[in-house]
Amino acid sequence: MNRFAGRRNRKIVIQLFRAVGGTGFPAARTISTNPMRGIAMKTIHPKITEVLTGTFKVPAHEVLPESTMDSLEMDSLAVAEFAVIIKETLGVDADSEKLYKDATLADISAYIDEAVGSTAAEATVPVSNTR
Amino acid sequence: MKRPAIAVTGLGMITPVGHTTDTTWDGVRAGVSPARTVPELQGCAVDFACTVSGIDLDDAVGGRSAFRMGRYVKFALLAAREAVADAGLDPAHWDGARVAVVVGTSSGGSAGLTEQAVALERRGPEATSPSGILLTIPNMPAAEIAIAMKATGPSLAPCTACSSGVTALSVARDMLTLGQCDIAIAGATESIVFPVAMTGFARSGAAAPRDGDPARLCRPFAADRTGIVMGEGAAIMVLERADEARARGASARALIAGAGATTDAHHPTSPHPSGEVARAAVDAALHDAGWRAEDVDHVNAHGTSTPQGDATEAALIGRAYPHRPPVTAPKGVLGHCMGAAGAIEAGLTILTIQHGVIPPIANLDAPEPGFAIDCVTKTAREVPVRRAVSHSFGFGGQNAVIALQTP
Repeated sequence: MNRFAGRRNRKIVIQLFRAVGGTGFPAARTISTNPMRGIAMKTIHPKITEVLTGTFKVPAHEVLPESTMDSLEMDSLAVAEFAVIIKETLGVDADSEKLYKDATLADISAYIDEAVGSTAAEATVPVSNTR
Repeated sequence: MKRPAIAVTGLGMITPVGHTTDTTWDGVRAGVSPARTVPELQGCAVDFACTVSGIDLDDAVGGRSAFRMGRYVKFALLAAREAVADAGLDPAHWDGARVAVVVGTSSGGSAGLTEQAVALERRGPEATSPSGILLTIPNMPAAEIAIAMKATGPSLAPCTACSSGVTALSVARDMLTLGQCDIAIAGATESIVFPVAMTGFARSGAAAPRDGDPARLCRPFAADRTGIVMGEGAAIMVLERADEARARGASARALIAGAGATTDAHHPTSPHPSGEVARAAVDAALHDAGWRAEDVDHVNAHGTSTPQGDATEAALIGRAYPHRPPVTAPKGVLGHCMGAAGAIEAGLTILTIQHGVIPPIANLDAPEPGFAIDCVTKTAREVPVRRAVSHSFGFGGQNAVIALQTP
């Protein structure tokens, strides 16, 4: 059973800060975060895959759109570190506990894409239901 | 107080010449230093060292937790795993409440702290790691080993600079003697081959200046020695009360027969010129072991290749062991592994006892004239060794000596 089933279609309001134009002042934005949206995209931002497999040694075959940080055994410290790396490399600032801890990788990808306003190519990975 | 015999039942090492005990032993026996120019030290006054290479530490550590560990913590964890496996123990089946972890270090996570300081200065607080404190505090080797091995007994992180390894083994032995644990995972670890630390050693005058091939620069007891060559690594041992180890069918590599410690209380970096306080540590270890000086078959010297340190130790050895037992100094091969050095050298002393082989002092043809010591030079010397002593003398004047013997 999908762990987000009870929260499907719920709107979570988050504060996503992004440095704008090098001024150092964050711009607060509200983002709709339907947890299922990312899975429908079946995509994971390549930076997420790179950080999870490189820094956190998550096996590549476990990096799936429907995976969550929890399912990948990423504890709160690891998720906070993940958030710092994302901030440092992509400029996407977020409260790791609110944004990353329970979301799927597809959701996080969607957040990041929206935050960076990027249409950069994403790595498409197969969705597996065999775990 | 009558002490129970304490056995070393497991040994793990990771050093500049090997990622395991066996490969380290082979490298030290060969007597060739791997010291080389380190690209990360470009621009430093001392840009060379003996480093652990040829291993992906994060892959070797595995799991999701390597990101929160400094390099020296990874060394300790890998060595501890080897030691526990060598002892024939399985953390899944032991009573973790009776397992202690005692792992020393000298500079701890100074590399991690420096990295975070740079990030803070250059990019602000949000660029610093949430694990920054964990990368800094020196108890993390003991803590991560305890976490990995479900060891819920007492854990400690002794710091006596370059004596930390021997101090850790000595403290662990005491804990077993006092019944505070049944198994002790003990040793030391260090990794400070980074620009701030290397610059500090260069400016202190302790480091050998670059002069030709870095692999030839650490020359313990040579007349033309010029200073320390930095090393890094870890050695971890499993200690148990010998009778209990025997009862579970474990074979001991060696026994810790005695230990002694003193403090020069003289100068932070210079040994007391008389060497008498360091000599007192030797005497204390021999007394603890119940040995006479002439019982010592071999001395594993601190031998850093500094002009004053080696002169003081050579004179000490000449006085303390007038029967001239053969002397080696592993730093010629490994460089000075700082806080880990004492544990690594104690481990090598155990291997000497087990194999009846004393490794040569690298880069040494003969000791400085006037040093009345029998240095093993050029090739390993095969000779039965039943009782041996390993010296460690740290910055701050902290002296620690351990006496080891056949089971």
